[in-house]
Amino acid sequence: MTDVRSKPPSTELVEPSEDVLRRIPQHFYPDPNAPRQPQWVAFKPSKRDVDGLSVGRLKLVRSLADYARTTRGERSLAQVAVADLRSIELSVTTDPLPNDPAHALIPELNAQNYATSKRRIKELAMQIAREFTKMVFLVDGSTDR
Amino acid sequence: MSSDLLASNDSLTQARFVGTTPDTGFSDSSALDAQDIRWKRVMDKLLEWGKASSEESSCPMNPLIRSALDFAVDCRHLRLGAPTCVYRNDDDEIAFTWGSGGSVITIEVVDSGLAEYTEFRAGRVVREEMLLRDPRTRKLEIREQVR
Repeated sequence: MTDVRSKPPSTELVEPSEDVLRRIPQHFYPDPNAPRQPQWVAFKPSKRDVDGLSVGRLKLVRSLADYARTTRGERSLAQVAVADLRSIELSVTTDPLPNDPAHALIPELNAQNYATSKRRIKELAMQIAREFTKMVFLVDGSTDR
Repeated sequence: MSSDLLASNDSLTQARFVGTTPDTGFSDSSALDAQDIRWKRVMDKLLEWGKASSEESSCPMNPLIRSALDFAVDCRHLRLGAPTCVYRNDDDEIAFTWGSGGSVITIEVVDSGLAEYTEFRAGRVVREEMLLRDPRTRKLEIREQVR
């Protein structure tokens, strides 16, 4: 198994006692009775995630509804404990942006690691989506957006 | 496995039943209707996303969404079960998923006419393939094993 712990923290580590939020892109469930769970692909780094997967530190977020708004519309929000991420050897580092002071990164989940350790990253994304995620904000009462 | 076609791919053939309850198999017309309705919902949603994408960029429909729509039409034609979830990320990549929990099959449309197949069992990846859509046969053919 390839070790994906290759990237040093960009700034400083977020404490394991904190929780982070992930904006969940659009999901559509054709069966209205199906469980509305986030898919593993929601935690898969995209080509643009060069420095890691973007999350937000919950304690710095003033309003979930505000945080859910993006330039491409409203997103659902998933909450993940940093301690759970640490348990699978993933870290969270601070990366405040001018318009998003809560912004942080999971640096190991970056585009380069995905290209070289695809299977491992997919399994980590699956584990996060399946075991660690709690949906705390749903767009229009669902993730059907 | 060589020159597998979507219709003869064992895992995908099994996937027709993944995510469907036992009473929504393909043994009766009402179950077929239910699957057909779900596929129609999928295609309507893809069209909606494609329209939104083209309005944002003032370009014709994004090729990834167009490919996803082609794929949905092909699957419906082959009478495969509708996916349990369709996902769109901010790069307009579309992923179809069958199943739930740690045992799922995902087909991600990653480029025009190109998709990546991933099969999980109990949270572990057990199979990965790159699939290329042949516009003549209207089927996804395995192009290469993913590293």
